[in-house]
Parts: sequence; C-alpha cells; structure tokens
Amino acid sequence: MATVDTTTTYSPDSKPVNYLTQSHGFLSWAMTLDHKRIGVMYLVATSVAFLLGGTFAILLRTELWAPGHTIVSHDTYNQLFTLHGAVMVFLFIIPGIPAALGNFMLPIMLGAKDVAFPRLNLASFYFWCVGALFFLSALLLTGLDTGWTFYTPYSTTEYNTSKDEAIIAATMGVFVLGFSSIFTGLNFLVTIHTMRPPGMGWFHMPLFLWATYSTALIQVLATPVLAITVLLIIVERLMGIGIFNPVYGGDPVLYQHFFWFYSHPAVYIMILPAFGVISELISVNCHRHIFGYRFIAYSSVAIALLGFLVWGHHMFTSGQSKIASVVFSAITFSIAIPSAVKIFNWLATMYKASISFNAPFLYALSFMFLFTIGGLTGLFLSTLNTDVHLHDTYFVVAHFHYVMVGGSLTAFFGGLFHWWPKISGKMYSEFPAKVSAFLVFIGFNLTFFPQFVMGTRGMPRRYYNYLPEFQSFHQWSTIGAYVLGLGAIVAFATLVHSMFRGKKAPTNPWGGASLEWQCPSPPPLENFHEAPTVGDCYDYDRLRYDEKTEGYVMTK
Amino acid sequence: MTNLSLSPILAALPWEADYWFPPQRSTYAHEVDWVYFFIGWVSIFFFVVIMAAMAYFCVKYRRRPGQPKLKYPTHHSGLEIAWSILPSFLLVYMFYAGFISFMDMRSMPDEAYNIVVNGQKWFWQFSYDNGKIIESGSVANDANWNDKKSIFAKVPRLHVPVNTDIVLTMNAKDVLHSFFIPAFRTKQDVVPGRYTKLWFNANEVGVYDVFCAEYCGDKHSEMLAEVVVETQEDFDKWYAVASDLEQRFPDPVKRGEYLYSSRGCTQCHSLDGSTKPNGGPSFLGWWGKEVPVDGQAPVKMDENYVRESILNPMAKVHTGFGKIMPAGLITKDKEIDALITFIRNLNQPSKTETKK
Repeated sequence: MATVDTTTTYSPDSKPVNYLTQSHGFLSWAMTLDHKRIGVMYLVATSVAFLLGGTFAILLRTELWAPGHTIVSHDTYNQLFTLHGAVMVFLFIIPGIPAALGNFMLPIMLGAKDVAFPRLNLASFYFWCVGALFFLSALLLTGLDTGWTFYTPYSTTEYNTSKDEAIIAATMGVFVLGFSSIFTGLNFLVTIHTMRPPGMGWFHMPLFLWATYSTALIQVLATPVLAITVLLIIVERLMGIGIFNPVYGGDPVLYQHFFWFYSHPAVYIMILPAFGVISELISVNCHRHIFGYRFIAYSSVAIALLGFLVWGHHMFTSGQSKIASVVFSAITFSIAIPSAVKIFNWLATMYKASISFNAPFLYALSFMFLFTIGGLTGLFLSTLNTDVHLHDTYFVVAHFHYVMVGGSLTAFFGGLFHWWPKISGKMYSEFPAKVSAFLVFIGFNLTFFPQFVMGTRGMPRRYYNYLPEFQSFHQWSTIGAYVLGLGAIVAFATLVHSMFRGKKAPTNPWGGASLEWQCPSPPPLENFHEAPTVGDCYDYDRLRYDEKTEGYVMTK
Repeated sequence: MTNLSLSPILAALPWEADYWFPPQRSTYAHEVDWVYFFIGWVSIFFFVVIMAAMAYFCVKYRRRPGQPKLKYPTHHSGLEIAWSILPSFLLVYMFYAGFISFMDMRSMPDEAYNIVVNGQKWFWQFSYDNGKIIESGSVANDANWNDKKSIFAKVPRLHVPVNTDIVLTMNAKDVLHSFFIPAFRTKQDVVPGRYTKLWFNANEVGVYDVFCAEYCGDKHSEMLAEVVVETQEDFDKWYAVASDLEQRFPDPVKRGEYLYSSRGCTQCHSLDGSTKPNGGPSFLGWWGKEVPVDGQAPVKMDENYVRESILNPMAKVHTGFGKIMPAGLITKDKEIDALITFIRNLNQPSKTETKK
C-alpha cells in the first residue's frame, strides 16, 4: 500500500498534534474514520490511477507517430485506449476532485468534525480499491478491448471466448466503483444538509460546496443506472439472455441509451467539482468577493438537473429516431447557458480585483482558456447537422479532452496546489509549480488543438492505422502529449519535494475567507479546537497580511 | 434549404475552407460547412472577447504594493440576466440551422437509386440489384500505410452515378459499424438486427474516402472503402461489365478467386496453410482430409462440406476455431460452385480443371 508508505514517512515534529501525527502505523490509516486521512488515501490512490492512465496515453500517442505499425500491435493498441479511457474516467476523474479534495475540504469548510457517515466514507474508499483491483485484473488478463464505453454487441459477442473474464472483471469493476461513488455522494448530501454550522445558510456556503452538492446529486441518482446496465452485459454475456445483442433478440441501441443515461450526467460529475474549485481559486487569489454568487450556485444545480436530459446527443448517428435527436439537440443547447454564466461571473470577479499570480491562479487562468474552448466546441457537436459529420472523429476526442483534461484535470491540479498547504502543512515551491502549470497548458493545447482540424477533415477516432495525410497533425499531438506528461510529472514532483523540504505552512497562506483557512495547517483530528465563527466566506476585507507568519489573519 | 441561411455572408469571409474540410461533394455538404463556420465565428468572437478581458484584468488589476482597495460590485442582476439570455438567441439560431439541414439529410428521397450496404468485421460489402453485383474487400494486410494508393488498392468501391439521389440501406452482420463519407459530410451507424438508411447526392465526379467510424475491433482502421462517383454513362458501362461475373471471369478458378477476395473469405481464411489470428482454417491443406468437428464425428472436407459450411457455418465447426463465420456471404449455387472449384484447385493444382 503505497498510500501508507508515502505519508507516514512524513511526520513533522510540529508541537500541536495534527491529523497526520495523531496516531501512527498501518492500521491507524487503514482503519481510520477521519475524513482527512481518507481524503489523502483517495488522493494518493487516484493520483496513481492518473499516472497509470497517463502512461497508457503516452504509449497510444507514441503508436500514432507514424500511420502504420509503430510500437504495438492492433490488439494492444485497442487495449491501451480502452484502459486509458476506463482508468482515467472511472478511477481518476470521477473520484478525483470530489472524493480526494472534497473529502478533505467539505467537513472543514462546514466547520464540522467529520462527514455525516465516517464509516460509509471508509467503505467508499475500500470499494474504490476493490473496483480498481477488478480493473487491474482486466489489464493482466490482457483482453479488454471494448473501449471504455463497452458498446454492445461488441462487448457481449462470443467472438473470442477467452475475453469473458476480462469483460466481466472490468464491468464488475465499474459496478463496484459505482457503489464507491454512490457512498461518497450520499455522504456529502447528508453532510451538507444536516451539518452546516449555525449561521451558514445555503447561500452562505462556499461555492465549492454547491458544486460538490450538485455532483453528489448526480452520483446518487445516475450511478445505479450504470450499475444495472453493466450487470445486464454480464447476464447477456454469461447466460445468453437477449437484451442488447440482436442474435438473442436484443437491441444494441438500447444499450447506448442506458449507458449514456449515466455517462452523460457523469460528464458533469467530472466537471462540476472543477467549477467549484475554480470559483474558490479565482475569488481567493483576486482577493475580491465572488461576482454573482447566486447565479454560480444555481448554475451548478441547473447543470446537474439538465444533465439528465441530454444523453441522446451522443446518439445522433446511432439510428435513434430523428425526432429524438432533434429534442436532445434542443435541450443540449440549454445547458450551454449555465456553463457560460460561470465563465462570465469568474471574469467579472477579476474586475477591479487585486490579483495574486500564484500557481493555483495560473491553473485557474489555464482552466478559463481551455474550458472556454471545450465549451464552445461543444456547440458544433450539439448542432445536428455538424455533429453528423464530426461524430466519432478526432473533433470529439479533442472536445471532451478540452473539457475533461483542460477542465477537470487543470482544476484538480489548481485545487491541489491551492489546498496543499492545508493538506500537508507544507508550502510547495512556487517556481516549479508555475512551470508545471505552463507545461500542462502548452502541452495540452499542442496535443489536442490539431485534433480539431484532423476531426473536421474526417479522421475517425480509435484508429490504429491512419491515412498519411493526417501524419503531421498526429505528430504535433504526440509531441504535445510528451510535454503534457512532463508538466504533470513536474507538478507531482513539486508536491512530493515540498513534503520533505517545504517550509511550514501558515494557517492562511493565500488569504482565503472560508472556514478551512481558519483551522491550523495541517488540521488537528477534530479540525477546529473551538467552533469557528461563520462569516461571509467571500469577504476578504476582514483579512490582513501578517509578515511574521507569512500568512493572512482575521482582523474582525 | 433554409431561408435564413447565412451561407453567402460566410462564404465571403476569409476562411480557408479547404484547410479545414475535405472537398464539398454532396448537395448538402455546404449546409454543414456554413453552419460549422457560423458556429466557428461566434465561438471565436466570444473566445476573443473573454480572453481579451481576462488578459486586460490580469494586467490592470494585478496586485501591487500600496494599491488602494477598489470598490467593486458583488453582483449585478441586470448584467447577469443579460448575459444569460442574450447569447441564447444565437444558440436558438444554431439549433434551428442544424435542425433544418439535419431533417434534409435524414429524410430519404422518394425516388432514388438503392444500394444495399453490409458491414462486418472488417470489410464493407456493396450489393446492387439483389446481389447481381457484390463489391467487397478491405485494406490488404501488407499495405504500405505511407502510400495512399497501396492502402486503397484492394478496398471495395461504391460506384454511383453523379447528380443522382442514392439511398444506402445498411445492415451489420456482427457488431456496430458506421458508414462515414467525409467529402459528403455524412455518417450513419450500421447496426446489427435493424436497417439504417443514408442518402446522398454526389455533385462532382471523383473518388472519395469511406471510413468505418464506429469502433468494431482489431482492424477497425482497415475497414475502408471508396465511393466512385461517375457520369451516368460510365456508371452504366461499369454496371454492364460488373454484373456479369461469368463474362468477367470465364475460368471458374479465376471466378472463385474473385469471390474469395471480394466476399470477405480473405479476412479469416489464408491460402498458404497458415491460420489468421482469430480466423478460421486455411483453404490450403484440409481438402480431402478428415476434419475434426466440435461435438460431432469428423467429416471429410469435400464439396458437400464446403457447401454446407458456406450456407450454414455453424452446422459443423472445425474444432479449435471460433463460431465466428457469418452465414450468407455467398448464396448463389453458381458462385458456390466456383469457390469450391477454386479451393479444390488450390489443393490439387496438378489436375486440369474442366468447366462446370
């Protein structure tokens, strides 16, 4: 368990006991009910998943350097993109921000001691581990090549029976991870409903909590559908009961409806917490009250709810009825509004601000740039006729990476740097952190922008070989992937380095006004020694910079 | 199609349309392109405005020592309502433009030339007039991927007359595929167990790429084809020759070889005794021998066994190979005879073949 090793080696001899030094040994972590330790375990685990998924991506991009065979075979390539997608989506992005950063921050932002159900929280982590083990077994059985979408009848045909185990292992993995996700979501919903401190009404919560709340809503409502769907795949594959495979009298398009009914809302599971992080990063580093709090809060909930009604936009060319496509297209456009509202509000927050350019803020700027492109290119795909041309091409690949990587991953890094002093009690070095933000930004654009052109020109996705005319785009993309990978490594190295060499972090290094900046860094087991006073979490006028501690202190 | 088309205005803007798109070769291609560029310009406008504001604020409002606190608003309902509602007019227009053109692309013309398309791992098959002509094939295993000619050397060709409404009725034999012609800006998934349709009207003579766009396994990227758009005269000439196999290939061995390479046998059955990955037994080496059969007594590989295996592949499956062969690849007696002749000749080349 790498989780325990990396964190127990770090034990600062700071005088007040904190959650890291409270108790020692393997079991003190493995059996902990402390939301902060569970958050840290999630952080380490999802980061490992990210590095694994990233390695697959680097291999994929290397294979695509030349039009024909480069380093791996057809079959290996297909397994690589399947595992890249599945690991990144199910093991990293979905749990990444909510379960790692959310777990750590949510109770502290509420001034609470822990989440409502600490045992369920630990169970959620172990379900994640079991789910990940199923995924890894699929990897070791080397046969899973269905794509992360498990489209039927490809995933349920017996064309190669030795693949049964791989598909069952992976779908069981999805099933178990679904429970992990539901547990976390349920926990957050109940915690936010019941454990807000006196004086903190719904509209006094930090926006990160609104985002987490909306995410939790989707997790609880949508995940069961995915769980049932993957069970049906197993049932069809093992028992030959016709659900999705026409050979047994099923319908493959039905599967796509079931799958996207979860997986489209899941896109918002990935991006909503990122919105929450960005609202915090921008407001804190602008030292200025967030602009249009209510609009941002409502837009999160609106996105969560509308997200349930747009799944059919993945299926404009699937053979679903034209009328269904038209309706889904119309509803999809409506979801562009709340997303745009957020961008405008963040922008307005910067107006007449007093901006500190630290690494988290650079990540937030990078997010604004990349997510705006991701959002705008979504318009090409929600428009019916252009989607017919662009569907299943690299345009789609570029679009969703701009949203998920340019959006969620950038926000994850930004949030991680932002809250790192609180989590680890150490300050990271600013320069390499900024370099990482720069490399991720440059590498990302270099990787994915050429893919918009390629897709428009008709390059289909999931292609092992490709026509020679696309080669230069692919090569830019591959170079970009290496730069992006380097940026991610620099980011993690900066954080790991700070654990050993970092300066001790003050309580409030950035000048945040929400409650997590009022408890010590790192927090003690019970988070607050005495109940914190709840004020406006975006009122920065109450703060003053203190030279002695190199942090901010409350003045009133 | 639409009265509200911005097409002429956009055409005047300095877009290098050729840079972004493949050539525009169907009647509805320009509809897709102008909507694409319309959304593109709107996106660029908003992106530039947002980024410019962001950059300006970053410079102007950067933190400086001794800078007095500026008074700022924490919300402004009028402004926020405005920027929520005003852009939605543009969105409604985008939806409308896409909708009109989509209905056109997806409503089948009443009178059209019909071609049946079959997709299966990993080749396309085009069938004219109930199988009078069947064109099929895929990228050769030894194709040079740096050379477009070599890639497309053995792919099937969908011959169609220019300026004619063509309807493709499509079905998949095994898993999902998707028929994608970038030059026509159209695409439709090909689904097992149901028929899907696609129509186009090609407006310029030429040869255009066809891709499979829905992931279908190992050789998904080799499932290519070409649309050959030709004048009605050329099309008729091609049709006359292509529809008469016996005239095209008087020698049944040659006819069998053509069937072998055009009906998909080549995907799974080698001619040199080797076994293709996830494939079936080679056509070389088993003729006249006892073949072990799953769950049944061995059977001699002869004319009757080959015939049965083509018409009903699951009846006697060669032990050690998957139950993967689809039925219906070849159904006509004369063609089965020719293929059998080809296989027999492959195994016993010394004997002189006589015409059937």
